[in-house]
Amino acid sequence: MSLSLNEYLRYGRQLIVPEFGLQGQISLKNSRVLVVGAGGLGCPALQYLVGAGFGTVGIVDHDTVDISNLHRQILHTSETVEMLKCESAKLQLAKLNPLVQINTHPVALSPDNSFGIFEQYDIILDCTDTPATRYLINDTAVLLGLTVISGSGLKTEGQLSILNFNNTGPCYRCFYPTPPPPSSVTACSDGGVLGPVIGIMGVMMALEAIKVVSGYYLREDVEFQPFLSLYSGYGPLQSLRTFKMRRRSPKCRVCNAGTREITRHVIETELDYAVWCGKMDYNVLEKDERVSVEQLSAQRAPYLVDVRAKEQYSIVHLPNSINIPLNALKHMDTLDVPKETMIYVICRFGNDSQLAVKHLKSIGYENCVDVIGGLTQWSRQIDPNFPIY
Amino acid sequence: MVAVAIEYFGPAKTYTNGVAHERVELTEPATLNTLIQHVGRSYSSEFAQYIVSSCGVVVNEDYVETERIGIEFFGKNIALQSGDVVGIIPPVSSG
Repeated sequence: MSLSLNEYLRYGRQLIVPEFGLQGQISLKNSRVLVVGAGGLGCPALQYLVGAGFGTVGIVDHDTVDISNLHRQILHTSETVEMLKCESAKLQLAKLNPLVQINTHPVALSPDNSFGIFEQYDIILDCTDTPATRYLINDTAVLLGLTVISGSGLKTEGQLSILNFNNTGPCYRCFYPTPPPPSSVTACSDGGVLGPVIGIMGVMMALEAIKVVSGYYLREDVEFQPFLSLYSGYGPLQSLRTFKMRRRSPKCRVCNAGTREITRHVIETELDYAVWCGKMDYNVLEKDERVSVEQLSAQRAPYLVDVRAKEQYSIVHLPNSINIPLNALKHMDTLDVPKETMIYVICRFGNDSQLAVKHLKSIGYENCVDVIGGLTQWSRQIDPNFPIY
Repeated sequence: MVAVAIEYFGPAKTYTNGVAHERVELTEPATLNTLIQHVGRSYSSEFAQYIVSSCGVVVNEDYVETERIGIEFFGKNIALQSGDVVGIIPPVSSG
């Protein structure tokens, strides 16, 4: 296979980079890369993969574009809000490089479809956002002998690794054999993230995909060493630290053939990743332990505790509410008020406030209730000028 | 006494009230196990349990292989020396 005149022009600047060259370009052209997740990681990764000239680029994402995505998911635009993310992404990508075959898979990745989709590709980028999906991607890729470029990010930090390189592990389960407790898992929507931070991780993922596919890590003078890179945006200075990782775990349940328990059959018939990873159960209060936003607004001077993180409280809060973040509240065994005080508890959605009431009751505050739907519901029903975020 | 440095990456900082790194003095013999016990006493047993069950641990930039058995703290046999730097790396799924 060789390049057309058009491709020499389009890819000229990367063709003349010594580490890449004509062979690098031909290897990309022959390769089919799948990006799972067209969000904060996927958008920048897709831009560079398509720009670089991979032969086929696939996008898996069942979600639609939301305005709150646009500060970091830079393939989408104000005009594509509510469009399917993979279609929105394809619109932009096709303009960037019409020579690339772009496939969209507008589905949620699940044990029913992961093998059928992954079989069509040569390398996978994990740009997703939950532990359950990451384990599914890992297991499917390992069993198909595929390499996964894995990235993540939150607030001002990011992580990057290559899983199952050259079918020799380590894989995600070698690093994390046990899923994290659901209470410790934070999504970008809850913890927040800065655009450039997640953008940097996505771009690094695209570069690693180029390096892997062009055979860089198989060169005689380069030895692939399993690694985990941690990016910090607010060091105070930006930094990338790289740690040497272990090789395949001798006990890995998926990537070590000798101890393998997870097979394609198990995944497709038995494994429930969501159940295995667990879910936070917020619904811990009875009906009579909760009030509506209308009931709260009818109170003249309620003792109102807002249990959101202080960064969220500081961007907007109800007047006369006091801020005690849930993490702090959980370690307190008294507030500064008598135990009979009528306490109203509120948060963003009405989830954490339930956990807070449970705790308050356990330390002797019997008269407390939370507000159903939280501040989001307050904005929808009582005061539309109260910002939702 | 054995003086080691600890670094808390990513969401580990939610358990340490934002502290990103600190120096710790341990009595001899100092092991990863005794270090985690110290961290549990300084912050919370919840944090120590989270480290044992869910986090990756690096010592001087090398990931350590550890046994995680039930609620047993791991790293009983991983000795620490003065000047070692231990990193606590939680899994981050968001993207």
